[in-house]
Amino acid sequence: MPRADIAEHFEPHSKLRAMLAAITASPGLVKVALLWLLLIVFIAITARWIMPYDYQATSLLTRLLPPGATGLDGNFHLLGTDHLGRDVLSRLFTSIQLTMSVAVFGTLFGAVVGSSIGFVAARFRGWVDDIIMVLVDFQASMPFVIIALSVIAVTGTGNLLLFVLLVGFQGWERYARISRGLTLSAVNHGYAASVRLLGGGTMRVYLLHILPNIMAALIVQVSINFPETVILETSMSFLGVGIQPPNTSLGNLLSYGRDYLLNAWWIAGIPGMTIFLTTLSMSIVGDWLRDVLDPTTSRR
Amino acid sequence: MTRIVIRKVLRAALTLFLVVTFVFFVLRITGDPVSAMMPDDTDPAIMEQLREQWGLNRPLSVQYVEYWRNIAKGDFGNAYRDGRPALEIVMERVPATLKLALTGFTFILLTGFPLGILAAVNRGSGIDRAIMTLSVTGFSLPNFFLGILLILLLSVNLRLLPAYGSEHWYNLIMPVITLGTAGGAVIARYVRSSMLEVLNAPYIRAARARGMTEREIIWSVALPNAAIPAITVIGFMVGALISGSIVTETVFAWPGIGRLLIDAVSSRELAVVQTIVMMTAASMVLANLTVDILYLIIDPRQRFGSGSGE
Repeated sequence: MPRADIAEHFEPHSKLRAMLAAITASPGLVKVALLWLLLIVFIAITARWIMPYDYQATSLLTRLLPPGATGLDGNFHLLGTDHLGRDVLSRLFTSIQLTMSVAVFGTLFGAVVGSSIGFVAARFRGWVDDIIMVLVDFQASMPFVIIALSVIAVTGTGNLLLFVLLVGFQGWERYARISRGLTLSAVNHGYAASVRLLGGGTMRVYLLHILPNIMAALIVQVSINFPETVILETSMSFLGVGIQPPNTSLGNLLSYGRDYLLNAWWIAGIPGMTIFLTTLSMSIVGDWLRDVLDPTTSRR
Repeated sequence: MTRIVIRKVLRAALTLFLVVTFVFFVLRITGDPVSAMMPDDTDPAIMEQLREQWGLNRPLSVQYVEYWRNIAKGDFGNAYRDGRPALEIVMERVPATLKLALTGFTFILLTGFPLGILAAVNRGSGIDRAIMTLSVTGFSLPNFFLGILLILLLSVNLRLLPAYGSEHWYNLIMPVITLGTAGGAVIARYVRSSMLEVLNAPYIRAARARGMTEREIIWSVALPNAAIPAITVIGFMVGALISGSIVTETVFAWPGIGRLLIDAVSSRELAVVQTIVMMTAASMVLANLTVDILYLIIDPRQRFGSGSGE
């Protein structure tokens, strides 16, 4: 068997094995965080099938039941019910699904757009680069939520796709900065120039040669950006300018529950705890990922 | 030095220019502000009349120049609901937000710096680990949930503080903790790593060799040097305080700009929204400029050398 074939055959496998080895060697806290994230992802994927009741079904007979109570209609509610008698567990599951979908799609969108902008700046240099860098600086000096709110003010709430893209756009300037800077130094490294000499086109050089080389830095940025996207989405939904009913995100649940803190803490408390544990787990895993992927950075 | 300052001022002016341009274009992205502001069932004749009145049927370039002229005069348009000048409506809310933000800022400094120093000095110990755990927790805790937790704990369970209100000094306690915790957590982390870097520097070894005590080294040598990079983060904090105050003011019904912005976005009071966006941008730009110039004054290395500010 030729050498290249062997390498090709074994590489994905050994990468997976290295990943597993890294996870096994991780501190206990990281394992717990990974486990929690795994649970959240599982719920996000299967919410539709595992939620016990229709998340929109109201029942005046079973309003504000505490966790673990059984309603007059004989239905058991593990996490209680809200002010309209809706099952909190079912609402929690469907909210996890929406929050995680928005975070995944939004983060990916922002990462792809931001990195591409950085590539464009590095590829064309000159005035294109200048304009992009001015925009990057501008974005870095404005709180993103203000920009998002001014767009929402004009377009109105209720456009889910626009909202996902908007939320995902947060942090684009950091991807742009990273991909631009790393691409510029990669171009000087010679391997990109050699591919070009061999006749590789721009797309080939960037996507097949430069991108894999700067992937680690971009993944680290994703791990920082992802919890930020979750927090931005849930904050905006909490404020009433994000996800609109009948859709529901974890932020929406919290904002309904706020009015019932006195006699029904679980309506706000349980989704709040879920957001917190999720962002906390992401930070812990992100920190760990940074150490694994980039051994040169000292732990901050 | 003057050259660097001039460049920074020019850059600040450019940012402000971009903000105004951004707001101008965003307001016109969806067609025109009239159909965005008015209910869908408004009589087309009235909409046309409003367009005429606001000069929206003139060429974009003419409108753009006019827009600048109005802003220069301090005219940000009138609120659609009661016809009052938007600037006036926003200015009424400034003191409440300023009070909250300044107290929050003090809270961030008073928690972040001591905790960061304490962690760095006790590197690797239980104290260090405890502070860093606290920092990660504080940073991951979404402020709207923190606010709700505080209300649950201090108002509902312990009955120590009223959940709402803004008249008394103690009304500030919960909003300030809500606003400042994430910032304090970030600063603590930053101060710690910056302290650790400094503590490894050769001049610390030199100070030790000269017989300075550890206490002297930490307070009079390491801290001033470690504080310099932390100043840059403080520039970022202004942005975090502004976005944080939006949530905090909503949770605690605090009568400031943040809540006004949310109300204005929900009711599509575009004149108010654009006023707040521009004022926010202006204060951010000013804060960053001040930090940059402070940096130049405090750290002589910045004035010479490679001009590494870029």
